[in-house]
Amino acid sequence: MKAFFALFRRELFSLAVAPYVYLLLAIWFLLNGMVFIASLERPAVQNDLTLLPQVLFGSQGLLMWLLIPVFPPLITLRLFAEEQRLGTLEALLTAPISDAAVVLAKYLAACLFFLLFWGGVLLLFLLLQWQGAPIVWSRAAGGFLGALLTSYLFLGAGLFLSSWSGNLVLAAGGGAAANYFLLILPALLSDVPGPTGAVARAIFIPGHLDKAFAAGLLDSFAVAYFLLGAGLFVFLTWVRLVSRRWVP
Amino acid sequence: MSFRRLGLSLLITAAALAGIALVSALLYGLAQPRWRWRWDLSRQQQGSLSSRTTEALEQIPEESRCIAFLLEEYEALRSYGSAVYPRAFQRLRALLEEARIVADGKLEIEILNSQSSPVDLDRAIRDWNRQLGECLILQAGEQRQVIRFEDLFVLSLPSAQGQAARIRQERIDDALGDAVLRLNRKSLPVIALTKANGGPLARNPQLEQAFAALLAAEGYAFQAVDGPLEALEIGADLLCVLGQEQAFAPSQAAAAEQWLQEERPLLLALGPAADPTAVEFWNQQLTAKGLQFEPGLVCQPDRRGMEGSNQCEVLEILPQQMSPQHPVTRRLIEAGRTLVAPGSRPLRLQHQGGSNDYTRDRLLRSSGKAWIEINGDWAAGPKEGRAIQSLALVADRWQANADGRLGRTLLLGSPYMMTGQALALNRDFLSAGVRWLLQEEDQASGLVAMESRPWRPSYQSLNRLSKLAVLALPGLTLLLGLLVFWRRR
Repeated sequence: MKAFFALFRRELFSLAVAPYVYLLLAIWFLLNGMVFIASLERPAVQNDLTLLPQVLFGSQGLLMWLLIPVFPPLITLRLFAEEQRLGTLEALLTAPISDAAVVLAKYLAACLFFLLFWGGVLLLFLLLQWQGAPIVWSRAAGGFLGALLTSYLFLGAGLFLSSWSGNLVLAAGGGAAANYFLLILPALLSDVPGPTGAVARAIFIPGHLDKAFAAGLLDSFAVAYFLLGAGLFVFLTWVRLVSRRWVP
Repeated sequence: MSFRRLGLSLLITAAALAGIALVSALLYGLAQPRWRWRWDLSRQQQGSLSSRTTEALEQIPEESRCIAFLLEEYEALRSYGSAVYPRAFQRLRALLEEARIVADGKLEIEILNSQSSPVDLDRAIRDWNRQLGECLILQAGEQRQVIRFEDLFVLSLPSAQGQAARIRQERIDDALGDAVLRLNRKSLPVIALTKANGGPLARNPQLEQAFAALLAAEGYAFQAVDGPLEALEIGADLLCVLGQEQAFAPSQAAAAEQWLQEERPLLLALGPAADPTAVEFWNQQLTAKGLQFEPGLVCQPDRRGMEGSNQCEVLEILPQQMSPQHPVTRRLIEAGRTLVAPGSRPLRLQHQGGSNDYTRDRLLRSSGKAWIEINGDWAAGPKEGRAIQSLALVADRWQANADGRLGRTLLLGSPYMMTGQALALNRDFLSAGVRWLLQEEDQASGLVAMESRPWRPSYQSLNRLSKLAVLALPGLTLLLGLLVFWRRR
């Protein structure tokens, strides 16, 4: 456990002192700010501000289709791919810490750090309230939670892709591609009749944001889908790490 | 490749596949309605279906289907950047998803919108014989229930001054619950409306049609009859006498007497134009119940407080003017509903003359500054003292009679509450009243106060927000990054 926390702290610290992460954060804040202001300028939102969480976090928003799938892999690319590139992964794997603890410490550090990204968006809501806007916090909180869980799922996918090669571009690009796969494939299949369509609708991520989170509702299946999905990617990363030792 | 490496590779693949299979199995289990929960984060728990609708959905027949047409059809509801459709469709999506979960696989829901494939949309419109404005169609076996967009929401239309349309009241839960209850029922309660003795609905077929359509949408069978005699003959469950303008013939009067003696439910509305003989007749019949009609017209000052501006033609009844205890009005108060009573006669609760077998309550009242207009100057004169006036009264038995009837009576001072625009605004009151009269008040619906929150920022305000969001926050982060970069070098 001691080794786990030591690694967790090290990962968190290395993210906090990486200048490129701040560049990413600045771009994220800039794009989010632009999307936020553009949403506020929509007449429907000005006529009824309760629509804001849906417009921002829901299936119609740029956040879901453009920002959330792209940024998590840019954070996770350094977790394993960079270690491989620098050749420090072998040393880490021979250290007195289990492979599972390595994977978990890296994933949880990325998750915790990603809260900073959403903290900036939360700040925009607080600024809006400071300007006298009547925000419905139940919907906003639901929207935030949905978006946070989505980014945790995508961090998991990014982590998994990062464990496959020492090529940073491949890790980031592969992670983003995996995330778009998770987003787009269910969208394409959701109109198919029968069980295929039913499964596609059940795992269609923006649908959960629309029908539950951004409407101020917590759906146990949606929460389980995001958490179990993230857990599956963490498990697959561990399998990949173990397999490196057995089958290089 | 050595056998050992092959074996290990297979083991790794098997482990990965096992993980995927386990997660898939868990998700499949958690997707089942019995293992699925939804928590409503809103303070007033307005995001979920009421227990009435939930119970009705649990009883829905197997292989029921629901198709939702979420189409932005009315131009007026889109103009001036109205939020009506986006908000309405979001609510519908959320509540239909809950309905699907609650129905435990018995209700298949298909949602079509403007982004659906035109082929699918055309096919669905043709197959379901969908007409303009129809939003939800539910089908169980041979039975079909159609819910129109205006059954789901009460709207205010855009103004000529450029004010966008907005949702005033939401009734999704109510309408969905009624439709499912109707699908579940073998036969519908019959509501009889007397027509032979005049009244606004008898005079105007359009008003009658609107009233009948509303009752049908609420899950009742409507039947127009000449009078109480025919209502008894067809075995109607509820008798409505709305705005009687001529006295009953002796046979009809005897039937009305029998109706009340048998403790059958009655919805009676007599306005200022009612025939005095008819008023006298009903006052005699209702003495035991302690309910009486009074002469005159109730007026009250306009609540906006403009000097000399009074409400005589249409009274506005605010939630604080409703009975907080009674099941008919309690939910209307919670949902912040405002009612209107056009041209209302005052009513009186007669505690002393009435029988002790009945309990009575005042459902709706005027403001404390109301008066009964007598001399026709439309202002409170010296003989027209200001006081609270009763606008709707109810009475029912403490204990049911041998037939299980409670003799429930709802008295209104205005038959015009059930006509035209007033009917749309009073719809929830009418449906709750009918439900109570038919002793179904335990099937309370989840009325929702749909508060719209307009926020029109000034140019300065939006500019300040833009600068903070697009310049200050990213700029500071970048500065922090540079600082970290400089320190690390």
